[in-house]
Amino acid sequence: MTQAFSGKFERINEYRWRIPKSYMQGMRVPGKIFSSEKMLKNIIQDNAPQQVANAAFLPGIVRESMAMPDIHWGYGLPIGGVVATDIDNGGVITPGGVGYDINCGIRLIRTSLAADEVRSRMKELVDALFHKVPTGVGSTGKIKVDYRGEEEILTKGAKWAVQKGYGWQSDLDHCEESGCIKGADPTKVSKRAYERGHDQSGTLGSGNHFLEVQVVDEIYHEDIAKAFGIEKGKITIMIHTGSRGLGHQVCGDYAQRMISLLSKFRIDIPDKQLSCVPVRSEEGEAYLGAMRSAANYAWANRQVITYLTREVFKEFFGESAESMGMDLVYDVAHNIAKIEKYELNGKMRTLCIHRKGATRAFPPAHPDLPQDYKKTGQPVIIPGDMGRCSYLLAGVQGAEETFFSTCHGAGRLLSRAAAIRATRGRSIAKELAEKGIFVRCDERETLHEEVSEAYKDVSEVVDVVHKAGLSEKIARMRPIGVIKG
Amino acid sequence: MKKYRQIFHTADLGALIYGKSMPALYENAAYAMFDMMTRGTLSVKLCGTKIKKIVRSKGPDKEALLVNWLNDLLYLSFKNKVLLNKFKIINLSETGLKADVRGYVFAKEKNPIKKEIKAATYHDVEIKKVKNGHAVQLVFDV
Repeated sequence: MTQAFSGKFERINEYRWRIPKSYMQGMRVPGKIFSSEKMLKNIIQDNAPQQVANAAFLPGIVRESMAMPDIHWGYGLPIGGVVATDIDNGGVITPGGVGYDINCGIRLIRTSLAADEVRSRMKELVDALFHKVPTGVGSTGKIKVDYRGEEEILTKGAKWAVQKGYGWQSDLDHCEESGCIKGADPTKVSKRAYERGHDQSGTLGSGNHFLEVQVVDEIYHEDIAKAFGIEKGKITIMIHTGSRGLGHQVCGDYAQRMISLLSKFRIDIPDKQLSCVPVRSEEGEAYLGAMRSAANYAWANRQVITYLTREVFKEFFGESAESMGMDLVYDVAHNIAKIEKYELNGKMRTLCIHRKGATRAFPPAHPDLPQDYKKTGQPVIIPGDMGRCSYLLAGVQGAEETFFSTCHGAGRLLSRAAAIRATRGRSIAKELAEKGIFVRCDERETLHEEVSEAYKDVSEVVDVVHKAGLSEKIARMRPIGVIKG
Repeated sequence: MKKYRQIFHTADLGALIYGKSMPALYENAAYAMFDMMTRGTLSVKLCGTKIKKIVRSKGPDKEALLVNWLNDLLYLSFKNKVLLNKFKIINLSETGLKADVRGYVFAKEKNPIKKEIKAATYHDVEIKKVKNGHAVQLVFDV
């Protein structure tokens, strides 16, 4: 299970590597990994490239089975995978190409607070955030909704939260899909999923999910940073979470169902976790409806956490969130399947784009961008690990190659068990505090699993997508306060 | 025979499960999952309010059945907020099973779940015959 990838790569150029179709009989398209030569050495240590090849078996796949430089071994599609299928030519949709945490995603909130005003009180601020935002395994929120209320969340997403007073209209303008993806069908969400979701709205969860208070410490593109409201030395807040138990159950329900449907649709794939059905089938439509419902649940979740964060800042600094300029810069999904149109061989095609551990990154002038980002391109938020830094990027035209997709984070380097072993006896919280990063975590061992060394250096990942022309570096942020589940 | 051992997986949790018989393999897989959720402390004496349930699972083949059984237990655990620690397979076929499962109501101080497992995955699952029984590798999304 731990074997390194033994197949051969063809070097396309400095940042692009091909797995030829001849690698495995049954691959419909080649694989392509975006990486530097240095990073590729780590990438082949686990079997993630094999998962790129496996995904090339999916019926209706177009162009290539792609992976971003933060690729690592997952299940079904690798983390960092991007796969598009042509839905009018038998293209399929697979829950294994989205993942269990549907619409796991990330948002960035700017502030007009200077780091110097905040740093001396950071410990107290982190305590206040930890107290207010529910974290940890099975954590439940203060927002309890009945069946009808949950149905509304699944249909309206972040719009539901804003209508309930948990946010501003401008938050919706700065969310992918305006925080509410169309075509959600809550009737396709199982009773089990409803049960797991009813008391988890506004909760962070556990594992790699977090809320960070950061300082902008480097600007790479002055004009675009200004348009995003980002200034050097100012505080930003980053929120990373998804659809919690509801999304996990939706993925599980449909993965289970699709395994039984493989013979009906005569689909042959090398990994059961890639079980799939044609998008244009009753079962494909059902999964899309349920997945979009879970995606809306996640947008509502991040919106409620935004509200809780603004409440904490308001109480803590004695000013309104508006006067502290706590606007949402943007919110992106990095585990989702979307229906988008692209030109292929001179013809406009409707594609199902799976982004699993990959971020949509629309270029300037794209019709789906809000007016204030039409000139800049879409803000793309790339979290790093809790001890180093995170990035704000912008979408560029060159990413048409990847159906306007880019990386989603650092990507793991060590397994969780290996990270715990490697850091035994160390106090991670103390080490971080010595670097000026205050951290509160529900479980001490999570800090060991999430230690910096367990991740690739996000700066290297971002450099690859920047130099490969998939997105542009705008700003870098360093953490000074972290809460985790 | 050891019930399971954790194996390397970059993003998620991997485990190699052993069982002298097929029912034992299914029971040990369930034990492994909840043991990893408590970070290896499931064998410590639990206390509090006991629960007992009969679980029925189905699947198109023995591998999918194994994964479905584990996900049924996860659902049961999260829905009822219980930590399960005893698993007895009553009936087992290639496509269905009935089991008696027991555990305790989740209490953060007494019976803590320390690690969230989102789901058991179908990734490369293959039950193999080994010396003294059966074995299977499982990947859990965390």
